[in-house]
Amino acid sequence: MKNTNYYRRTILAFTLLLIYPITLDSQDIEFPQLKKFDLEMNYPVYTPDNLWDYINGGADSYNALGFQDLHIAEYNKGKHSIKAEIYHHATAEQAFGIYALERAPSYDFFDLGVQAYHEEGLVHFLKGEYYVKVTSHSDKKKILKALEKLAYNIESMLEGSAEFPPELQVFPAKGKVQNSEMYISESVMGHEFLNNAFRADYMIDDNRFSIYLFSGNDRDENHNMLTEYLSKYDLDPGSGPGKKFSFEDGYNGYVYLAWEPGLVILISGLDKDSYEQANDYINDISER
Amino acid sequence: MKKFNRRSFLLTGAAGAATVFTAGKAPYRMLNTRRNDRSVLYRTLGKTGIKIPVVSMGVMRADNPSLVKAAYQNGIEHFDTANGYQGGRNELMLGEIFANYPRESFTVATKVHTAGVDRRTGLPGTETTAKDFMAKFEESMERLRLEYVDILYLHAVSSVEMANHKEITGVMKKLKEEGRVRFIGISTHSNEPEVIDAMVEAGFWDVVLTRYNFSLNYLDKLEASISRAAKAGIGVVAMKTMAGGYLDKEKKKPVNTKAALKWSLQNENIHTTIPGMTSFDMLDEDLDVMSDISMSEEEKKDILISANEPGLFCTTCENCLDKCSRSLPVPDLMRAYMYAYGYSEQEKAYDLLAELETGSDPCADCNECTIDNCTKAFDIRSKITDISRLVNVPREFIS
Repeated sequence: MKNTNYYRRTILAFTLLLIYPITLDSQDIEFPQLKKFDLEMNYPVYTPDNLWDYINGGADSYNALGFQDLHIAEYNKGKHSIKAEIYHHATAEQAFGIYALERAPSYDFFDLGVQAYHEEGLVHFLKGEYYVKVTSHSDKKKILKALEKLAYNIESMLEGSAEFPPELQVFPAKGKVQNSEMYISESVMGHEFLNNAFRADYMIDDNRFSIYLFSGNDRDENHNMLTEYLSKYDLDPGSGPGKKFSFEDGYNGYVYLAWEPGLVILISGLDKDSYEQANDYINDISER
Repeated sequence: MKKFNRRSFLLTGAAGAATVFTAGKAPYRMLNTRRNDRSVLYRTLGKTGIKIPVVSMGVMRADNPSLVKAAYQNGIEHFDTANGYQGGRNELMLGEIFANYPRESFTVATKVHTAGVDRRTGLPGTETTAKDFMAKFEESMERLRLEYVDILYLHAVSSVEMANHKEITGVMKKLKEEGRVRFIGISTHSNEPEVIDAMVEAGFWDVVLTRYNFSLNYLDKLEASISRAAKAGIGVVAMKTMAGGYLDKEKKKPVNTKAALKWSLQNENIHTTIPGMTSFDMLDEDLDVMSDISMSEEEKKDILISANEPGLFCTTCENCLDKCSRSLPVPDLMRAYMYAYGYSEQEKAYDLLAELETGSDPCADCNECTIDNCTKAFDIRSKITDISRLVNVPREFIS
């Protein structure tokens, strides 16, 4: 009979194998000190397997966007406390996706990392693959000031780009609702065959519509995706980019779609008679 | 040859200069009118008296208004959101949609998570106040654009102390008296049996929203609590019925989600479910269940296999090692069980059992199992008895 040490060693080896890719690729998180506050690390590092323990059902959205790990620190001063949470995602696009999912266009944004916003007792910001939340329940001005300082300190500690994903530059400015951009990894517009798209919302003369950009696929992937979608409407994407289509998506209303080199553009929310407007937007994007 | 048919046509720009779009045929499916041709299974949500379809919509991850509209138009009547979902976008989206529908044609539940709750222990803190709760509630009402919500849950309760928090429960009861919420409840994702029992004891709660699926290792305990709640008139709503959608970390073993949803509804104490829906395919699948919860043999088998999935099995914490009066290598026996039932690797299970030399009925001489500290609350004796019988099978018959 094999002894328990044997199995302990086996389990340990297996565990190390599992965590190896994470520790290899990600930055070691070392929370900065904050003057006059005690830094306490009472939380475990959460991974996709146990994020549920910390944020319950919200974990599904994070995991769908490549969540890797979560580091948490608490900064305590008397009865006041500031909590810092650093969510690490697999790619900058996915980190942007979860950050954008939780921001509202109406928030008070400012420059920190890629972007940050204040709300009462919190600063949330994005940098590279990291989505960071710094929060406090205190309403004391000094604590809230320290909270902001901590956010800046964490931002300077984190590696990664301080720029939005480049795809966002492709969205035309005309009519775009500021800070409405999103990254959707699964079931874009509710279709399981449409994945990994950037979206921006537009408002022109009280007409609201959305533009989706699928930029991460190769030619074959785009072909397969479009074939599945267009075949429902007796349309054929052809063998390569260069075609534009319009049809009544049975679930989402009228849709304009263009297959450009390296990019699929989809506009939803414009009616059937707005094809010139749709075409203008598509041409604008294609020229960028 | 292209598939364009006679219904396809070309649109041209105003100047007529260039072909712009190739137009498709009429939609393959229209969902713009409410369908009345679907038979829907209803249950009564406890003492609330609300007759509710067995399938409702968990809106949490849905970001497409068309999906919610399609759900409504196809007979789903109850929609579940929360103050914190998508930073408030979720409630805003529902508010815009609901503005177009008669108020009596749908019910909506939202949830408020109070500040200051220790996420590790579930215990309330000094910041857990009625003021904070009310501020979030008002925020939700503004986003939802409703005069009242049908169910207001205290969100993510995992301790009896939080379920009994006087200040918060007081303000929730007051909201009910004022008619701003019709019914009050608790949502619970962990330590559910204790929380549900506390609700029953308190006597004033109307609805519980609880995690419930085939993979939970404390199912017996949870089902007993659910039964007590239902008997006490508490409406029971099940969430996380799909057990995460996958059985493994690598997402190579998907759960039969339709079967999982049906499985949860075999329990008549579950009055409705709120599967999360992010695609029209998921919606279609869930709508089927709304009409028919009977499980095929294949579906039953899928759930049985899934319930025994190794990833959801013994965690080899080894707490049990000192507890077994016969000093059996319980984690190893559990591993054999996992091989056999989880991976269908009978040979591997057989060889491990042979190596362990524990015989065909290692628990035979014990009147009562002395292991009372299994972290997964397994019926260990039953599992050991079950798997150990395998050694009675001649090796050549196992493949």
